[in-house]
Amino acid sequence: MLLFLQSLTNGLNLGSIYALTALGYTMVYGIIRMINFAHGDFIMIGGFTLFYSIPFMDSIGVPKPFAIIIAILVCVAVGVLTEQIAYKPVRGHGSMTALITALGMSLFLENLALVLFGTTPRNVPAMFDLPNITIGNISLQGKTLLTLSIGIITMLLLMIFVQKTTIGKAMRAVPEDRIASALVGINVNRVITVTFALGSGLAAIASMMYVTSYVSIKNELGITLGLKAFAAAILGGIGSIPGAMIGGLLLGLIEIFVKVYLFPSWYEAITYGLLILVLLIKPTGLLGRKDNEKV
Amino acid sequence: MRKRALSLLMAGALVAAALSGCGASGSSAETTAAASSETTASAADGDTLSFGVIAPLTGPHALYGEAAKNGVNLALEEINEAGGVKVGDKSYSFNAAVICDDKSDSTEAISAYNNCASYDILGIIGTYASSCTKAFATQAQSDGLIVITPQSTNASICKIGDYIFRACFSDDAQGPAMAEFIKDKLGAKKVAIIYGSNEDYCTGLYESISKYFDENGVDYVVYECNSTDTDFSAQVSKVVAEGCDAIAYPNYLDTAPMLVQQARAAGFTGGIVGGDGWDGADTSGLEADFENTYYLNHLDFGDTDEKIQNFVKTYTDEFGSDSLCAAAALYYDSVYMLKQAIEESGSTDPAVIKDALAAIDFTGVTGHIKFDENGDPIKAFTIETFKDGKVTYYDKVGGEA
Repeated sequence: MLLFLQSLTNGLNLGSIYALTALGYTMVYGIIRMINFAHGDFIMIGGFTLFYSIPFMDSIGVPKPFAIIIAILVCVAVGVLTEQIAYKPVRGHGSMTALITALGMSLFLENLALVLFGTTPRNVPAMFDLPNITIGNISLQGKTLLTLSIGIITMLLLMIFVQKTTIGKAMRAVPEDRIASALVGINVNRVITVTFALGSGLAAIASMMYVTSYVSIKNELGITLGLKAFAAAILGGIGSIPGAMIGGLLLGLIEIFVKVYLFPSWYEAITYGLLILVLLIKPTGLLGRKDNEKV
Repeated sequence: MRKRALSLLMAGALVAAALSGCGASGSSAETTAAASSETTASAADGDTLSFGVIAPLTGPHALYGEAAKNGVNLALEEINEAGGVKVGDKSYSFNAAVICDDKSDSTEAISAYNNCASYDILGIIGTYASSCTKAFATQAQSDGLIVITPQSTNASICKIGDYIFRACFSDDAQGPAMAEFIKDKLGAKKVAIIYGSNEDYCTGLYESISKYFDENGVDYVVYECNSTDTDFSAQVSKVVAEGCDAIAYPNYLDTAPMLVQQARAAGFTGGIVGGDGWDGADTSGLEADFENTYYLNHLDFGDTDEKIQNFVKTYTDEFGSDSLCAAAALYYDSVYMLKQAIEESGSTDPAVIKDALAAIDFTGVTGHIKFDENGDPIKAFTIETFKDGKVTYYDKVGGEA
């Protein structure tokens, strides 16, 4: 029983990080219909920024959590630059081109980080000093609650933003019909840039939660995380914000429970097998909607 | 017309990028050798003896690749400045024909080997990860090229053939050494072994550790993980639930800090022991967690031995201390060991050199090496621990007098 509850908290912690990352994937896909494979690497950039900015915050006497502001600024800058330099010129040239460009960008960022930050895996200094709650034999880390609550709050804020604000409305209009959106006066380029900025900002927040739970960062950090979060986004229904949340949490829980109760080395096979199963039954994912082409 | 020119340019760039995997770093070794042969008379015969180098220049173990490259270049610099390699009455300058990147991937290791083999070389010094060395060692054996692996410890490697040697201890010895330490020094009654089932190094160590425990009646449980995992909460929660009092973690440096941190956070207070793959692990921010952790290493850089201190000084002067780890010293020793074997054999034929290598009595930065019948050196193990997050010498076990 105790092990079950402990695994539940562990799964929710892991799942929240996947969910935060998946939110970025799903948002960009939902608006631009493009999978930004470099998203995992934005998180890696966020992690390295935190590695440098947390001691900097210490040295100027500002509380450490404010380092996230610098991380958000850097990630947004990287995201918008990537969009302007790599993705914008190939817009409209088909999804294959966009896919290859995104993969190329991902490789570029990984190796750029290798050159800039070196080869040694580094530990990021702790940002938060949160107490651990120990109930009997279960330790519930403060970090877990923080990650989970930040994930849920971000999701809610994102949903409110997309539903209630004008630019949110524009963001929903663009994927439906890009030409019509331009005709009614929506600046499509600006909407896409805002979407990337938002997605990259989410990557910065995801990186903050990642380094709080898993201190060690290196240039390849984005690869596995990005892949799993992508799977989570697809599982929950790509394009759906609550879907990303659910997909992420589900993936984290499955991973932990398979490792604890079944065969630890099978968790990837089981996770992706489940993904395939869900897609066979419901091709748009758990919460995805079918986008009907209106003629 | 413009499109044609552009596509030709792109094709050229692609080819250049593909070839840049090797050679770029190799040329620095060549220019070093050329520069020193201009200044010293004895190596100016113009003839060179070459070997290939394979190391993980990029990928998860890029730290070791950088250390390897520096170690090789340092050794070559010193050897050539001292007059090169003497075979009979002829002096040759020693050089690395090419330094290839295996990206810690066994498929890449094979192409790295093929690239090296296309040069006129006596053999290969490389590589770091056991899975990668295993990938090309069989081919090297049938090609008649000497392989000295500086740090691949998997037990099966040297058994591949008589051209295959290593400069480090074998996991056949490291596993029992780790297990004995856990049993005797830590006095553990129930041990958890968490190992990466996708890597030969981790699996090999796990097998020799568990074999020792089986033979000596120590109770243990096994949890698998993947060497790219970052989340060990599932495994450590089971360790705590089972009441284990020691963890054996025979994996690499990039995941060691995360395992230690998560184990401590889950309430585990026992000893955590690792193998030589922990070398270079970053402990900043986790000093308290790393108390009561140990790992086996090839040498301790704080050792007052003159050879070690000389190496530390010359290495840090030229390359700084970030990449100073056992890999640098082992690649350095491998170059010197090959040089000594060539000189003792009096020949430039790998078939003769390998026999001299098998009989060699070599003392390097990493200790005294004499090979047994498999090509495995019988070496001592240094046990390191952490005090305030800094690597501190704890004990030395094994080896021969």
